[in-house]
Amino acid sequence: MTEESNHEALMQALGALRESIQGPEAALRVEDALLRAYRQRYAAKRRSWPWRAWRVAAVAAAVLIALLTLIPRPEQPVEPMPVSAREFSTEYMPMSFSEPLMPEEFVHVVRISVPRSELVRFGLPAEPGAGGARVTADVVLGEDGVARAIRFVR
Amino acid sequence: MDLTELSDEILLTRLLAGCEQSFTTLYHRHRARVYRFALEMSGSQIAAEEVLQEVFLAVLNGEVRYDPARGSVSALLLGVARNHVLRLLRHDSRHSAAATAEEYSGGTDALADLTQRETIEAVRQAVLSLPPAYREVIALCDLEEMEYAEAAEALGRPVGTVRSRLHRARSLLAEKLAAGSLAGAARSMT
Repeated sequence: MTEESNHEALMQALGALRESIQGPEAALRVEDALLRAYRQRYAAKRRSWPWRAWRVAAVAAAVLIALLTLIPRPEQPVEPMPVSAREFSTEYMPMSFSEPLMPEEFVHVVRISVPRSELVRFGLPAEPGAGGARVTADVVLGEDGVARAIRFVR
Repeated sequence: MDLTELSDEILLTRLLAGCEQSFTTLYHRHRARVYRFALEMSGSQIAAEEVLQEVFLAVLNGEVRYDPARGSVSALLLGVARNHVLRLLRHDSRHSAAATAEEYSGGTDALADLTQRETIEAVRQAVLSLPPAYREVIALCDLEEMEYAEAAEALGRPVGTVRSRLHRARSLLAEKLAAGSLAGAARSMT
């Protein structure tokens, strides 16, 4: 036989072998074992208590306010801002220290008031001498109460 | 929610964040190829299942680091499988390449002809008798029909190395099979 015909015969044989191995599949016990391992590892990470979400959100909002007001100043209460018929806002900006939201995750949006000077933290311009002036912000909280994103509203 | 349209990279991120559905989607998407590769390398269904399980345990434990710049998730998983198979072959005589035909008998509905079965078995044994470095390129390129580039990613070798090893592997196979009168058996299959 020529080298070419040997090669042709080989490729034909390999093709037959390839066809023959399309059938076997791993036993279901492999998938079962993997799912058990997955659930054992990630059970603690699951958050499935929506009935606690509001309490968690309230605590998280208080923590966020404390984080955003690091500059010492006389304490000012968070004032609920009235909803305006016409509002303009920035896009939601991710908080750099937080994990991304899952698409199906239950979230809350909390409206707060922060010093205008905080805009600088997110790369937005703040008028010089903004000082004590405040700006409205909407904060997105995940199921675990951790802030995920923020936008500023005018 | 249907996750089958999500990319491998997104599924990896989601499963590490605790999304079980993402893990099962990724597993179902890649289990066949990982299992077949392990089976082609080891000749043993038991070994192949063990390798498959080890690969995806590594995934769910976050031990598999995916870098998009270095290739596809499929290539990464096959690379992990390769490492496990090679370790098994070195250390465990239960999973030696001399597995019997009964342990590996897929697609029998399409193999009614005894000559065809014998030919396929001869090819299988010839592949399993190759040194691992040649066996794996045959498995990836000829049996899994991967492109050279993707096979190179899975093996962590340059494309040129994959090409040259494949050429040499095919020569070795052809010699073994010609010695066993493969050509006549192959003609009988057409």
